[in-house]
Amino acid sequence: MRNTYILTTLLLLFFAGVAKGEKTDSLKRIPNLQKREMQILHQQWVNSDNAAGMSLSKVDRGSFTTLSYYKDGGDYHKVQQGSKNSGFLFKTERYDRFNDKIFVRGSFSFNNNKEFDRGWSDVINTYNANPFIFGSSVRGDYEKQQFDLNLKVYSVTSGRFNFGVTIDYKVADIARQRDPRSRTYMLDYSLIPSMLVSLSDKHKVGIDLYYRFSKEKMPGLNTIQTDPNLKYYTFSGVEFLDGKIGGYKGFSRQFLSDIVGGGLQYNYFSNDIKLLVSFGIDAQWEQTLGDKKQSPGSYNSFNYRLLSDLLVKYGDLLHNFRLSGAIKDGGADEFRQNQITSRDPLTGITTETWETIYIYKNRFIAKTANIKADWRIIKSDKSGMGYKWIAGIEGGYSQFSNYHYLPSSVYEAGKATGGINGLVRLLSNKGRTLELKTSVNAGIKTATKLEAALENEAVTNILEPDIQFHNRNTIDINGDLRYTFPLKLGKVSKILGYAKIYGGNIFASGSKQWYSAGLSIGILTL
Amino acid sequence: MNRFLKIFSLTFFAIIAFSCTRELPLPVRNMKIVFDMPENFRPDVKYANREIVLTSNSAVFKFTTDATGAAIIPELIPDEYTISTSWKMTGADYKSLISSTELIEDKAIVILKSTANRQQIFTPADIRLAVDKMVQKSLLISKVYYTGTKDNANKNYSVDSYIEVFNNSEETVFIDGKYLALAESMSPPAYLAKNDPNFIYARQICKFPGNGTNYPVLPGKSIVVATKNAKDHRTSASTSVDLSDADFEVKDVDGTGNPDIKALPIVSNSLSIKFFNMISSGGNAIFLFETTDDILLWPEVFAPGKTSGERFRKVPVSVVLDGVECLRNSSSTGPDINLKRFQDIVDAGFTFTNATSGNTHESLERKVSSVSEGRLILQDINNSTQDFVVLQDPTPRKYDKSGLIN
Repeated sequence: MRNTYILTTLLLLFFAGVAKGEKTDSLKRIPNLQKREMQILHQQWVNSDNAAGMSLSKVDRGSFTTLSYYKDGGDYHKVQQGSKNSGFLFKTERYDRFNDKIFVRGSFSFNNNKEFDRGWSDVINTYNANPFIFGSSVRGDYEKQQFDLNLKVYSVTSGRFNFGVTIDYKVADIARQRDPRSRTYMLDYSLIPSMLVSLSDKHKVGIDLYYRFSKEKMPGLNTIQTDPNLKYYTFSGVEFLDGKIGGYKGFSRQFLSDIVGGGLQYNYFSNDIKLLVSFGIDAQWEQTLGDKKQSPGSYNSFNYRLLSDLLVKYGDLLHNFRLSGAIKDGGADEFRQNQITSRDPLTGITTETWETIYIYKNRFIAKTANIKADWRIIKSDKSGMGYKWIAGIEGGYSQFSNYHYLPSSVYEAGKATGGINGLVRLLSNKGRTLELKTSVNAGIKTATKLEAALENEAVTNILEPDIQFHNRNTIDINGDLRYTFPLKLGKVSKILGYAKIYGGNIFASGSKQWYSAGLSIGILTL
Repeated sequence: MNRFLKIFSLTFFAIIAFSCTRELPLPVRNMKIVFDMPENFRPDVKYANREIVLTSNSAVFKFTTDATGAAIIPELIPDEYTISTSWKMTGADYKSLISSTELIEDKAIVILKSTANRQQIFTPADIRLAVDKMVQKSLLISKVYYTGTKDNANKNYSVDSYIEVFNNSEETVFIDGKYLALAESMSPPAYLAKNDPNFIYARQICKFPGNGTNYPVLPGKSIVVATKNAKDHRTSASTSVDLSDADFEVKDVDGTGNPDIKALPIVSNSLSIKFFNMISSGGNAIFLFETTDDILLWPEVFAPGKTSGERFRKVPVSVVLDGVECLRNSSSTGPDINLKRFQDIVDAGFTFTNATSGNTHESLERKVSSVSEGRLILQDINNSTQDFVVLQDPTPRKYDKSGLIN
């Protein structure tokens, strides 16, 4: 019933957007989705945290709103992931202006996802993050709802300066649909003020400062569980876990993070060549708190991001070279605590607190590295605003390492990927376009390692099956068919309708696979 | 602006440098745990070549002591540990290692043990632990019930007393030929322990029948001796006990009593009565001994200064297997330790009921120390103050009473 309400609300929002677009744009041309995409491609700064540079390449005012239904599933997945997902995704993105000097890009998304048959994790960030996670070995279904609101405000150049700010606000909750019924709430917001300095007409540098707060909280579990032997598990990194019979009773935990950082950018900007190089770094400090402020430990991480985006115009071809990379260096201090109980002799009130008697510095360390490079060639159409075809090649490498010390355990894996992709416009007639997009990617596993100090339930039930997951080579084939068309609602309509179906499959060695498919409809209004 | 960029860049590099040099947790290295032997051991005897077990919430580590009695631990995960170790030996071995004489059967089990709970080992500081001694005699007096109770007409009921003897060893022991005795309990006292360290003055001595293999007591099992009347007393007093299945009944071999219960005759008696004369208000020092001597050849003496009345048999302390000093309680002063009849070597402590005049169906019962492979092991540190508890459930042969579990 709740899903029905949500879907109804999204449809109302969708048609409200249609009506608003029709009223606003009745005297203008039908919007062009390809044109908008090309403008966003040229607006390289939108890919960085620095909003100040976005005014260098403007995007026409307009909203693009989609509503999607998707489904994916299969047996190629990790143990702490479900074997099937299905859900709705509503997204809307609008470029607009407050006045002649201040512009804005806002986006909102809502995702209602149902993940089936998931176990061993009741948290949002299961992997390569805070190791003090928790969960039940009994697999169950999880319902997730997430709202994400993003706002980028940016000014035109004033003297040599541009200013901008990014605000992001996310809330989510995950509710387990089987005993023990956990429900985890997430709040995540960030504020990123930024500035751009024009050193000359062609050379510009940018800077942004980053503050983010994140909170994930699971209050006490609800259960009517009567199984006397049911365990609930708390983890502390790699295979180290503690399974307590009835451990879900009175269990609660929250993660509280402060993240600060910043970024530096360089931009070369000319008619034919545009280069943006952005380097960002942030540091995260996360507390883990339980009942009566008990804490199994804390987590911190340092995150580095690199983005290089190059656009080269050569005749009617546009070359886009993009290199992106991210490195995370995370570590968790584990606490050994004793409970202190004191009683006020006057009032008789008993107070219980937890005293940390020892800290294991960086007992758990998680490192991740991801790098991806792609080169796309975009063939412009006659109008110069859209494209006829796109051809691309891409490659990447991703790797993670988890270490636990005292005693030592290592768990790591890596994968190199490479592939090709392309898009061709099959039809373009009177505002109607039909596009086919396909991609083929291969994934080849690199070194994987599992050296566990213990032989326990985590090794048998989680790590060993997961290392098999990482050991599989994959072929990932995807295709989508997109159709855009003028939408007539009323006498004069200037709305572009949008429909897309897509599907794909990951074929993994050992006859494992993971399919994905979806249907999406939407509108583009001015 | 350039200056600002420089500062910002330097901050970036500082964060990177910091993040690349994570401090890793280190083990505790080269620490020592030294074990001190009990004082009565010879100085040259060390706690050598024994296994030490360190147990935390997440791991168990084992080490071995060296010739000096110390465990050198090269590397250990910092944590809170329970340190435990034990050394099991026979009574004969034990006697060869101590510098004093002690009353222990050769086949008794002596356990040297040391335990330290929640010992915080976060730094390589040496730890010194004392080794305690625990003697697992084969036969122990495990329950003594003498207070009696009220019958169903609320009258004093004191014929339901019994003594239970438990086999605390891992081997079957035969009770044949052993003696159960009651020390004198005159008022004023005739022979106090402090006045004679070598003898106990017995008022009554019973001898178990058998030729050595007739009456086995299995490991972790017991025998019940009805000291007055072996019947189901619950028919007369609902809070009493069922002694109809007792193993022995104190009576003459041809005496009256329960014909189904084997007689435990009194072979040395300062009184004319034919039952074991435990007093319901307390003041009962009960002991078990074994000898090949003819005890009737041991001297009998009157109370000091008397030439008539009761004559008490002098029992050498050296033959005693186990003894429990049950002092009389006093509502005003509590039990008087000066009235002890047993030397510390027999019972270093004493026990007593809450009642000062009996009839409260209180029994004195030995605590359960542990369970080894299904076999109960009772506590025996030769101190009845520590070893015994007072319960208001005198049921014989029952060891799962809540007060008995340590």
